[in-house]
Amino acid sequence: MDFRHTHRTKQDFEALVLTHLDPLYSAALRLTKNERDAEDLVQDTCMRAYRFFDKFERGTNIKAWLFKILTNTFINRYRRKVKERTVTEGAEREAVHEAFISRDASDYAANPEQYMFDRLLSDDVLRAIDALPIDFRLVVILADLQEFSYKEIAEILEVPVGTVMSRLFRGRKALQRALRDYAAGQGVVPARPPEAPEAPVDLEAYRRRKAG
Amino acid sequence: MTCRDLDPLIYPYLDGELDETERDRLDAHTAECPPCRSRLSREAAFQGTLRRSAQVRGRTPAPEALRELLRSGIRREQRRVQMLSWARWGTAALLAAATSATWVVTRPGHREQLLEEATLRFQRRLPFEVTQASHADVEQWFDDKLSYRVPVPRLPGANILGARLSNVREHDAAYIAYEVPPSAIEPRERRMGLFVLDDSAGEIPAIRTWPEVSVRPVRGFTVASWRSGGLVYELVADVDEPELRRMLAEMNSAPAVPTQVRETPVPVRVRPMLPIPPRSPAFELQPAVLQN
Repeated sequence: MDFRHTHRTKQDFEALVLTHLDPLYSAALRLTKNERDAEDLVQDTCMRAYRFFDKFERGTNIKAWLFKILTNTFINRYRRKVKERTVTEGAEREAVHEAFISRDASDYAANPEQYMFDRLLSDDVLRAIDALPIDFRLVVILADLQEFSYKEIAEILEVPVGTVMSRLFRGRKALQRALRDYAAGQGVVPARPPEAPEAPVDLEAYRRRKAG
Repeated sequence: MTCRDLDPLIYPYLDGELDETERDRLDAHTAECPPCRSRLSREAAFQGTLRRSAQVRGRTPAPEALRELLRSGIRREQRRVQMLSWARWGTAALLAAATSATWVVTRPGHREQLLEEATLRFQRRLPFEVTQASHADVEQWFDDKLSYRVPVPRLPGANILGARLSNVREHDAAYIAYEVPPSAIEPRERRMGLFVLDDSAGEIPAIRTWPEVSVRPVRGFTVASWRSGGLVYELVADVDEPELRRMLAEMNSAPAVPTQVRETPVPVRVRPMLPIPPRSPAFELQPAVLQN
């Protein structure tokens, strides 16, 4: 047993990990949807990270490594617990509608879509993200909140890059639909006929086609 | 590139994941195709709103309490790991760690370990390698066995019982055992063991230079320590502090006796070298934790 090593490890860990605490907490909050569970999740994540810190390859992406532990921990431990709560989410969605107060529609005619997105409140968008199914929510949080690259997200979630792209595509489309429906419900934009189902995203297939 | 190709490329384009050729191709197409252009600008607007919302409102600083909780959690975890590692050394180690919780946090310094180990070795009474010898004999005997010369102190009223090679933790040591025969004042026979360690590098901290001596109780014994001529002396004795101090003061004031001069040769019994016994587990426990 080497005390100096342990001591160094602890210092390294504090320096490296605690600087990423805010992003970890923000993501945990979007995943668990409440502060208490978010704190538990971050605490669990950090303690696991500490235990496996010797497995972490120095010089590689520590933030991605931490998010991998965070998402794994969430999926393994918290998902079921959070699922039980989704029953109450209908009430939350009502609150979103209330927040979307009637607005001056003068410049709506020029570009209704643009207008709608501009008028969306950040809270509305966040609530829409929170309402996404977990697989889509994870990629949206990682890509749009944390700005990880596709490759990093693929590593964090341990799925192929193609899966990341397709989940991101579907997640964002679902968000758009939810927000458009919601805006239509408020009379901000007229209701639109449902769009035709989207073609699956396949950048690789496109690249292969181009290459071939 | 056709309009059909836009779908799979639109998000990778906005997320900055396309390579240069792909980006140029998409730009060229949207420049000529108004529907695709408007589609792209719609998606870009949505993307902007999404990221802005997520980042402005979705970035919540972690509560300070959580940060503090993690720091103390790390400390706790560290202690837990240490306890586990000690447990591997045996039950005694675990007991030692558990019974002195503060010891776990404030580990004893190198100095304390030396003192502890010296008293443990004193207690074990390992056989001597040289007995019935004068101070000069003992000095001579050590001469070709250690890398340093060992001046053997004359403790007032004490006789040399014997000597052997020893070690105190990672330091080689000369060990000289003395006894003080019973007297009218003190009817009990008293024993003393002196470890002489080479510390010309000054690695052992906080030891005074002779004639100043620090005396402290360790594990029921009294240990006097001092430094002289690059050597560190640890004298373990089963006498109390005042008596030990009195002896040392007397030793200091006594005229130095040239050790080389000997009037009558005394037969010296030298035993064959004994292998230094392996450390008992008890030694490994506390001190070994701190090795390296």
